[in-house]
Amino acid sequence: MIKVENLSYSFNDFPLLENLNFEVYTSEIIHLKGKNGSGKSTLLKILSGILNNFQGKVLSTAKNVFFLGHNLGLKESLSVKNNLLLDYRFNDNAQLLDEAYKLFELDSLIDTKLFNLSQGQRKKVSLVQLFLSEYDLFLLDEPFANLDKKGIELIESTIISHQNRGASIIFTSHETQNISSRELVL
Amino acid sequence: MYLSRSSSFLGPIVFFLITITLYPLAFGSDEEQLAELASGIIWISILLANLLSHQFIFNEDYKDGSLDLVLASGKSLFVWASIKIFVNWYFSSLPLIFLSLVTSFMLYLPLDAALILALTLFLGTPILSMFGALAGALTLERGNIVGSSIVIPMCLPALILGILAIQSYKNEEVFFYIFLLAAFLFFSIPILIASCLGAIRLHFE
Repeated sequence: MIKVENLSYSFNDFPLLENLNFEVYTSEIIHLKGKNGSGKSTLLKILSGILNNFQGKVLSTAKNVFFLGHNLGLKESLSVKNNLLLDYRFNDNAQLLDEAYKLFELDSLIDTKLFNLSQGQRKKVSLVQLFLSEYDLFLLDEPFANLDKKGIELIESTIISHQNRGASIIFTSHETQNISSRELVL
Repeated sequence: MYLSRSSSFLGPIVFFLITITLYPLAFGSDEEQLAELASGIIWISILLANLLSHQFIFNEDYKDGSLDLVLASGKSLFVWASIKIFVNWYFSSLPLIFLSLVTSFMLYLPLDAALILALTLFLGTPILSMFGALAGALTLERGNIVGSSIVIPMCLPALILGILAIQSYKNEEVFFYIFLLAAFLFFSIPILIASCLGAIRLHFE
């Protein structure tokens, strides 16, 4: 699904990624590892098309890409419900949305403005987006951060269900994860 | 979403009303003098009020990560930026156009001139919004002052054409200035929106 050839990227003349070569296949879950500042988030941004001033080649057959960054792309002044309805990444399916609210324990918070939620609850809102989206490629930057044990289990099962559907997933995490098919270390 | 953040659209309206009210207090209630200055007073007040809103166009999306999602989606950034600018104009400039019609009578502007004022503002405020968006795009991580100092000189042609059109409302020159303003708007749309995209892209390099 993705083929990276001789990828290099510098930030303010500091070489962050040097001569990377790897491939990601269909239905694969890749755990991207590396110490802080090693370029994990930058690599995900390059693969998603956010950053394009790199050297080398990134070839992708993914028709659509779901990106979840450190900043979740949620609107503080809107309620949980309106944030999800605003999201352009999934088709509004009321029944599925209700199911997702219950699954992620957000059903009592749907009318709550985002600035009243904890970091973990905000993360769950973005995970509802992940749960409802049907994309070819998922690029997830620290998806397990700020989540409790149940939240982590939910996102693991969500990732596996996307894999079973034929999607590829690349995620970063400092913790060891059992769901990955392979690890890439930067 | 825009309405849920009241400062983004109420700020310019309140600023405009305060500024317009202060001018008669400063210049006195001489009808002729106020009528002569009205076009400049209203246009300058709208330009300054507009500066308050340009920081909201792209900044929040950049900070909360929404802009990342737009870039990653592969959807047209041009369409997205155009919608953002239009929404900003709709909520921050359109109310000012209607308010300027009301306040023009407070400044003793004749009805014919007031109608020309509204027309010039319909043509001119989208230009101000687009220049504001460009300033906002250039200064995503910086303060509002930098953006304002960039945008004011660029808005001067629209300001001058708008004021000249109102001042010549009694003769045929008015159409010349209105056509120039319309042409300015027509050419500004693709050039300024493309410039905004270039400025946004600079922050991702």
